[in-house]
Amino acid sequence: MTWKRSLPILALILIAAVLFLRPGERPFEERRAFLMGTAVLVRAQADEAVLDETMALLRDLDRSLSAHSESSEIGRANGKSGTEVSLSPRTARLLERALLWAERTGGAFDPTLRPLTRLWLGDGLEHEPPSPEAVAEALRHVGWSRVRLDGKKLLLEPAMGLDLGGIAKGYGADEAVSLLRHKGVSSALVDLGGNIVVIGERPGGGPWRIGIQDPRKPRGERLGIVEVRDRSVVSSGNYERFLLWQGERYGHIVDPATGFPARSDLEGVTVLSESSLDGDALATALFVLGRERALALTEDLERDGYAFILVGADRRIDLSPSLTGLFRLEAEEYRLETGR
Amino acid sequence: MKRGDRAVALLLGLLLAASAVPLLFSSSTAPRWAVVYVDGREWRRLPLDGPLEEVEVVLEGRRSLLSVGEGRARFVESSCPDGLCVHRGWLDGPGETALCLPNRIELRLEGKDDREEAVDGQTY
Repeated sequence: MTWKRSLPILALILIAAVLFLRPGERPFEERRAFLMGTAVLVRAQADEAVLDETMALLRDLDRSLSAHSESSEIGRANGKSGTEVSLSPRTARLLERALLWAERTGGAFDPTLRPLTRLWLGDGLEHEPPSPEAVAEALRHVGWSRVRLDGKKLLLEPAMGLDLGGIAKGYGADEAVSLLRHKGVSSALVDLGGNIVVIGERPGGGPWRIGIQDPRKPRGERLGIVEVRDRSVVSSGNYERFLLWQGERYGHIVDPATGFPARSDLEGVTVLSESSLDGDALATALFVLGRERALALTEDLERDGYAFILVGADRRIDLSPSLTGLFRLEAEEYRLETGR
Repeated sequence: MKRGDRAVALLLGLLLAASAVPLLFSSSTAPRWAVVYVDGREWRRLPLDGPLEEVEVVLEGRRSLLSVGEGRARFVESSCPDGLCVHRGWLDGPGETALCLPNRIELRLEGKDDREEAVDGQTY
């Protein structure tokens, strides 16, 4: 047999070897837990020890960041408002980032909402809403610009309080992903209660496919699917958690400007970003701002690589141009607006 | 082509056909199991292809009732305050999940899925 005649056979051998042996496919391992008040899933092409280390990190963050636990670092800082306290480097960095987003969103995201969130959501989700007087009083103690943070030293005015609940999940997801990358993991999905961050590609190859919650439907029902690599996907809206009193629904996202649940013409906001913390802060802020002011802000952010899916109460969806071809709308009652 | 060449080609043909067998099986879309996670740990793995059965889960005095079978699963009752898990309704596609955060129970349908609408995760 001459070498020319043997070429097709050699090619066949190569194809068969690739298909039959499927070399180097490390299996995906996963861990689940209930942390930070939500369900956590870490799925990664990694050793079990790496996943265990990631879960230990998340448990540690859960202990230090809860605003609702007096023994957490944030809880202790809130209990000592009026006096200077020293934060751990990690919590100081988180607060610094939160204050940055507060500034960039003109206060639509505010990490000092604790006096108000305690009022609206402190005793569960079924109680009489607070009186306008109580809201006005709590609002006096809210204001990101009055936080004094100097390195690790924090000074809150008396009766002020931090609530980092709006970004703690995003921060946790970022930290978990950072650890996984540091350990050399090149394919993973971290899901902290719907805050999703992916590394690389999904099992079997190709972009990860992330479902986006339909804000009008029960949890788990999709508006559409977005395809991502190395991105965070975060959604926010008043659709799930709300205070219910005498038939009236009060959403859980409080407008720092009024002290009352945000009355937005947006029903759901999804942010795609590198950092899930940034996505968390932005999703909340854009919801509070409403469509017109949100769109003004997103134009700038799109140039920095962020992308958005804004779902209006009128069922119009504003989609960032960079998501064209990556987002597939499934729910028929909505219409896509991509002509910005 | 000589006789020996034909034998090699035949052998390779068979090898290729054999390599496609796992691909055929992996493209099955039907969910096969309802997996119940309690407090982050797998508690039970229930076959979906049997008749509908009710399964009770109790954790620290909190109770949830699930219904599993005939290719689908759901939360029927739950002692949680918001009832979001029950409102989720029936799950019937692989990868679909229903979650009861207060009771720390997750119900997830598992099965290989190459359908276009399958997702790896979902925001909420």
